[in-house]
Amino acid sequence: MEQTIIDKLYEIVSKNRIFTSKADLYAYGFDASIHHAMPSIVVKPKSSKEVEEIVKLANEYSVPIVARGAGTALCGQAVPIYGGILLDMTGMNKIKEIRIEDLYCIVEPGVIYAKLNERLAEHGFFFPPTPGSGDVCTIGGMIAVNASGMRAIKYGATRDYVLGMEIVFPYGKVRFGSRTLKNSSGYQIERLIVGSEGTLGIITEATLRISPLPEKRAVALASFNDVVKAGEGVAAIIAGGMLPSALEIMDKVCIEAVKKAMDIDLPDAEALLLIEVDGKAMEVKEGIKKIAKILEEKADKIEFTDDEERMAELWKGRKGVLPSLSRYGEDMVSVSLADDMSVPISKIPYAIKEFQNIARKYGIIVGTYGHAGDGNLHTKVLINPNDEKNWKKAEQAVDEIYKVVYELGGIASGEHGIGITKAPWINGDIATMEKIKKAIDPKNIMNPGKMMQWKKGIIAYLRYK
Amino acid sequence: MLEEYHDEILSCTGCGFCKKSYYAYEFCHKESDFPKGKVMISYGLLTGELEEDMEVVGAIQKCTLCRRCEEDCPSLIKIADVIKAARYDLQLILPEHEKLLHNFKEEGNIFGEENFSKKGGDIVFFMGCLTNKEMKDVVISLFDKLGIDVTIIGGCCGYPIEKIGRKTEDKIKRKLEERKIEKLVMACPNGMLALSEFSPLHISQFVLSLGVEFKRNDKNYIYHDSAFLGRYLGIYEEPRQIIKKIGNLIEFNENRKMARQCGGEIEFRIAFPDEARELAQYLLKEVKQKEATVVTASPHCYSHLKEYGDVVDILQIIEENIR
Repeated sequence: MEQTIIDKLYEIVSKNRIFTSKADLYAYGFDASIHHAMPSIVVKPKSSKEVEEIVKLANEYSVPIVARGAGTALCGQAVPIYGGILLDMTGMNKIKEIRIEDLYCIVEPGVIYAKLNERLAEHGFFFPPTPGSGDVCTIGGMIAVNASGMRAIKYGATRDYVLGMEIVFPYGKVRFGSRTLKNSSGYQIERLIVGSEGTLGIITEATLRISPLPEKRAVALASFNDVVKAGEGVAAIIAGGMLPSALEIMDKVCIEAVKKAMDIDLPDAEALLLIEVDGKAMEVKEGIKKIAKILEEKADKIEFTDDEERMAELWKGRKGVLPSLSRYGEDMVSVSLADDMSVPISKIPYAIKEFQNIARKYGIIVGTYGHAGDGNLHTKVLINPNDEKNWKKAEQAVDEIYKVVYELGGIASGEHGIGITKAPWINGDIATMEKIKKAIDPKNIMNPGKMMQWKKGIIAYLRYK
Repeated sequence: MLEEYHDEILSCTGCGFCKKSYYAYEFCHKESDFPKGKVMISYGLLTGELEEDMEVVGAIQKCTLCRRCEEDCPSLIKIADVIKAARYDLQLILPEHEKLLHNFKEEGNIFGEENFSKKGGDIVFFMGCLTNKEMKDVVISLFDKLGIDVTIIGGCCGYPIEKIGRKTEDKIKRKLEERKIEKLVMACPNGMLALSEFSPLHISQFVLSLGVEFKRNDKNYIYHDSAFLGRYLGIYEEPRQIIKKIGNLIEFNENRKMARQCGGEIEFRIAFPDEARELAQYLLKEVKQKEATVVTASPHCYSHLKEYGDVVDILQIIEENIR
């Protein structure tokens, strides 16, 4: 990077918030994906004014600029593949306003999801999208990939809660949206930004809708001797008019991985459904009863609990599936490939069966789990990352997995985003996306090479050497 | 050394869950301040993508090895072991650590101070540098009160030196091997780890085994689990049992396996005093709300925390309250 640019960055941001050592650049080059690349410089802004000046500079000199929150993205969204400026947004971490009576809060992008909910809980409210990485991820990162999680079936995804936004585009700082719950006043650009993965602009503030915390929660844990039966159970719950606050599925590979890695008491089964009902105490009681009735002929066993400790343990097990899979086999690690497809709810058991067939065909292990209630599945491929042949096989398997997903009427990503790892399977008209990108970012400085711009194979910029 | 941890490092998915407990601190300013950053830097050193320089050394050394982050790691990565292995591979050393190493080699005491020793019977108390510095007289008085003719062996166990990634000589081990030992007792978890082959007892375990009586008071004591006594050695309950015999035991919100590090490990706090202070002050904020005296069970924790609040070591309250 030209010295002139570095000198100018030092004029914008104080010295202790600029990192140039090789150790820092190397550490910042990872997110939670299979990719790695080093930025030329890392800058940690404190205000939207600083972001505005940095973006202006990057645009003037045509330098790539990539925003990063906690680095928990799973598809390489925060990996600066063309170098340039990496913006560590965690320094902008103020909760600026909480307006309970108006049902919104205003936050900076570096606020940690769990910290926001701790503050909202003091008022009996919460920001409902519940990503598995919620204890550590940032709101900015959640917006960038339209993150959601286990409670999306009832509460929706991040996009459903973004009311307004301040964003820095290459041509300057702009605001969209409102502080009102309804908005039919022109293009809702703030909704376009949700899921844009930093390819259009840098989010510097977000106005988020909030919801009252439910009075009570209870969980049912149902075990099945066949994954198809579990899938039928999901469809029966939805068709029965139930709207649980979470409806999760785990296959045998995932159950075994969690038991092994986390010492959590789960039944031995081919598949598990973890069903949460929330609301008023009476509603929860009725809801759980109804679910028991619906599942009684399909499940081998059903356990119910409203004990906070046991519920926390079960959710910890579910949230820990992804990393636990890394401990499944001796030489194998879990890599984020084909990690986040969505299919119509009723297609879930067929999808899982097909994924298992594909895994067998290629001699790899695929664990499947996810948010069965909204059709969003996660698969993790377990391979020996030092064996090139393994990567080749995995790449072919992933391609077949996505073919199945599309045949079932699904899409490549429900909540993790596209980045590099899912770029070949991006959904929608690419030409229109390219036109929008060009109109806002003509010099292509904002997170270049991601989403529709990535045209090569997914086994690229590998972090495994 | 890092080579042995190749598979361990690859098992890290980079999920970042290890950052959770770190979000409480201001000093976590950049990626390499977090455990994930350190694991990744270790990988860079292992693959040769990163070359050793003082920035790398600083990042790898800025960790107490307390293993608190491992409690939040769903992949069960041995994060502290990876970082320690990386330290063994480093050639460069921080100036503060150079001084410790020099004192260790020249004086057999990391502070360069004289080690207290005393001849006696077959109950042996190993003093260690920190206990020698902070509570030598308390040790002598305690064994007097217990009526035990104790042998006291002074010197450095070498564990702080091992923690910075340098090999140590086995002088103390040889001394211990040369004599008959009925029981080896210590107040410092570092020493217990370095000399684990002699099955040492922590002072709280030893005193409990004697079944002695204590004077009671109405004071509130909040027990701070040392990472090395707790997560490393699995000793959580004995200090608590003693406190309960003396006064009212109060707990930190995060205790036992989930206890937070105070920053007191000597090799950490001399190299990173600001970070060590913040770790201590974070703990003491909760102590203030709970209006209690902190009880430590490690001279590392005690000598650090006493700079910032009302703190006693378990050794001191035993000595003061024993009947």
